[in-house]
Amino acid sequence: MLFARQRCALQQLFNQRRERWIAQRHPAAQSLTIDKRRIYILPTAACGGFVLLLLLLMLLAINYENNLVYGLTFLLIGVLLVSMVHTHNNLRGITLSARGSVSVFAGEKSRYRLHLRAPDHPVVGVSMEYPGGDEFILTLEPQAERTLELSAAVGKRGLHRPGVLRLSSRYPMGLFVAWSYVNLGQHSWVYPKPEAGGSLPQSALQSDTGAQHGEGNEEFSGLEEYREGMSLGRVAWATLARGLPLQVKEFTDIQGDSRWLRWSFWPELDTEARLSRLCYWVLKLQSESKPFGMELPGSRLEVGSGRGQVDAALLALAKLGQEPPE
Amino acid sequence: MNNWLTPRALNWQLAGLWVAALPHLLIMPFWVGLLLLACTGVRIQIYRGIWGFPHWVVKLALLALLGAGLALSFDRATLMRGTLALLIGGSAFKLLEIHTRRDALVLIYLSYFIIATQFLFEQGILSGLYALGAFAIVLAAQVALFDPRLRAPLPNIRSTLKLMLPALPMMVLLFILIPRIGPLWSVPLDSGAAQTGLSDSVSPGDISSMTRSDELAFRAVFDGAVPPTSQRYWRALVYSEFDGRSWKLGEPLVRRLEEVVATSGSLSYEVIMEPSNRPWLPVLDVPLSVQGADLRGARQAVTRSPMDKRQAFQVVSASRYQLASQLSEAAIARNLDYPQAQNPRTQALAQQWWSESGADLPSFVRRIAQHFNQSFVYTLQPPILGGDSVDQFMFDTQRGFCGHFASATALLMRAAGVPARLVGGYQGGEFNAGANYLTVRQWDAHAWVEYFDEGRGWVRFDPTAAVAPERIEQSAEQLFSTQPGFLADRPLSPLRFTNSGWLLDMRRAVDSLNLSWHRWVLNYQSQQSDLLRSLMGEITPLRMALALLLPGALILGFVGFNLRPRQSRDPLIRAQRRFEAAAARLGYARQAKQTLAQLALEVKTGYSEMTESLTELALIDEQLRYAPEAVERSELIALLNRNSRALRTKRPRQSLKRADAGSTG
Repeated sequence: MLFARQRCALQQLFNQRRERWIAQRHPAAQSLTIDKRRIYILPTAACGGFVLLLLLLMLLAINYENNLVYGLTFLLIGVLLVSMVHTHNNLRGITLSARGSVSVFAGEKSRYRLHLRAPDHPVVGVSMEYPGGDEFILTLEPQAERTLELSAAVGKRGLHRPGVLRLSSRYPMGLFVAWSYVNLGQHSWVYPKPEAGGSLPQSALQSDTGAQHGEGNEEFSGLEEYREGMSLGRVAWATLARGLPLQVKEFTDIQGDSRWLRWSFWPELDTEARLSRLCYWVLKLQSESKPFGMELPGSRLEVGSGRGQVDAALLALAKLGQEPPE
Repeated sequence: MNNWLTPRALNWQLAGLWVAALPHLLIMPFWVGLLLLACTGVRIQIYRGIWGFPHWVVKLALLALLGAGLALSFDRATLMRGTLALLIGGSAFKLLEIHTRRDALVLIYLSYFIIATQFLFEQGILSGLYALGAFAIVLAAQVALFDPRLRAPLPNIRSTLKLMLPALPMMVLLFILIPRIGPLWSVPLDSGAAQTGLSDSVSPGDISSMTRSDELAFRAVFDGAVPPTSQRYWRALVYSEFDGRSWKLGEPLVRRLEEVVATSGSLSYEVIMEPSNRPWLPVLDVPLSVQGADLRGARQAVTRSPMDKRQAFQVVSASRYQLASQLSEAAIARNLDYPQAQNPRTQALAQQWWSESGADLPSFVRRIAQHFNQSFVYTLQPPILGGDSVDQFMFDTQRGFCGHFASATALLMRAAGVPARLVGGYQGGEFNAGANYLTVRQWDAHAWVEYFDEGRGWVRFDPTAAVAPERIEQSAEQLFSTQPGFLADRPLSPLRFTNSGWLLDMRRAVDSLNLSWHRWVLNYQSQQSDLLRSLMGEITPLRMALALLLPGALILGFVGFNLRPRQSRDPLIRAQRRFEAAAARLGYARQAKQTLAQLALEVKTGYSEMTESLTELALIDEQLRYAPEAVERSELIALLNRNSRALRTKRPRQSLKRADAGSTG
């Protein structure tokens, strides 16, 4: 048991070292084309089976002095060599560019957007994978372009870097695996994981901006994409009738219902837990369509509501205490 | 490793296995084909989601069924075919348990192997072409396994050909250069049809078709010079008992050994005998001593037990000799005996010739040779002979192979009162100059006659030499490749249908093609050393390596060159790409929806010293788009090039506005 744990730790250490070494050898670039100097190639286990087949055929040819069996064996050897060149070329010439990321909550897999352009030949069955992420099988016609989203490892709150992207290909015969490392220098902000709890103290209702707005209870502030759970009463039927996707009307309750979320609310919690609690309240207020402002050490978000306000708030939570990327 | 298996790949696998197995299914018990058909059906049902993968009990039951079928349908003599049936049955079962890509690969490798085994039974040109097609389909199945696209079969065939066509010259190269070595151990093939070879009786009248087998009989390695083809008579069996139709050994082998009186031209060599399951060892006329076997009776070399594995024997023979000085009464009687009641016309002819030649033995022998030479035809497909088989052959059909001629000659001599007997063995052999040895195959099997001449002992006389001297002077292969019997076990041979006119011309063309195929492909090992020497002079390991590596590298290089990502030929696009690359190096990769002008203006924000030229670039680009008649393409190309050059001298700025664009808020 203990031994297994040690081995696991050792393996983790090895993987970390390996990833760091790979990252060192592949400096980041926003966009790059895979050229032949970046491609590594090795025979696969299937190639071992293939060589065994060749040996058996050779034995058959020798023992029966059968020149046609010799011929077939030599044809297979030729195909083996030609397939090596094809496998290598399947990766060659693919152009990749970084295209931002999708922010996620801690505990989810980060997602990154990439733009790809195929060279003059088709790209067939190239597997793309960030360390810890899910595999994506890429197939492109010649000269085709495509933007896609790749998942990477589960991140902790704050700045997340997915590491070095690995592209590999076994096409056309699976006898060789060619791979390449691509470091696009991507990063994303991981929001804290929302954790329910606590209640807003009375001081949250107190408005310190003094910015009292005029009459009227609710003010139309814009349209927002409909998401599950939203009140049907707010659906903008007029836009739906025009053929647009289902949208809901966004109202800003300016009068007196705005809340302030403050860092100082739950002093008994440590930093991450406090951020998680704040995150929960941001989302809760958003779902109740209540405008809010937020005050964090070193940053302040004025009262507002809607999608943009929530994103700004979450980003502020993610960035708290983190070094900005260079 | 990901393990997706597309339905398209499954179709290819099924097609591959079927084309590989088809030539075997035609000659195998029908149940093997039924089994494959059933497994294919089940596989398709599994794929359509109607049935699940079979339970292991079902698989076990199927396996038992296969075992029982094999035990019932095949025996020791058809071991080879039985093994292949097992292979095909096993592949059929594999169809039922393809879960991952690895399973599919096993099936595909099996299919390759099954294609190769086809050549153990059938080696014609058509069979070679069929195998090439089958190979392409199995290869396509392997490629489909790693191609996630759902595509029509044609594009898949195209990408398969891209793999296969460059491999063909490589195959030819390896075929020509890789040295062939002899069998590591011998493996018997099933013998279905009657093949030439040795047996303990010769009855030419019963055989309508002589199949020439290219199976190896033995090899002989010589210490000194190899005797010329016309002297290569390999004596194995002496038949002295004739019942009017067939010749039998008769004489007990333990009889006193016939002595060799005077000898010269002694040859010492080693006979490496393939397993024949017979005790008779062919040795050059006439053996003086044999190590590992006994010489018995009429100097036949006999081993103590049938040869069931490859064995080597040291032999010394004399090329000029006198065998036996005089015969005992019993021996004379035995070698003159024949059924008087049969073949009366031949007996009469013999007596007529004997008296015409004045009882002079040499002129009598000449008379026989002349007669055969006049109107007889040497063929491997003689007509079947009826009651008085020798009479029919001598006077009616006049067509036959060595057995007919030898049998008739021996009877003619006996009827004339000359002691004579039939000798069976091999004649000829293929000379391998590299290692100074002869390869003798079953198609070299031969029969001739020995008659007793007072004062000269037993004298060898080969009547076949009189009717078809080329049989003795050429190799059997060269001669028989124009003979129907040579291809008798090749059912697709066109020789049977064509006998006159343009068909005949075509048949001759096909014949010569077949001959080349035989000499240069099927039997390439005997041409190889000569060909290589004529191509590259002295054969040294260095030259061999160079001859292999240089063209091989050339082919691979050509493939790689053709596949490389190509630059566009349009100078404007090339200039644009260069500019994009220069900008990307500085951190301004062109976005998908960005025009060239937008990119230029964005770069401008980071490099104010280039404001003027970048603004101009943006302007000209937009003009070319919206008012193409106002500006020349060459103007934009020149601007692009100028800006690219300038950008290449710049260094990336440390804090880039766009570095943060990687994250969304």
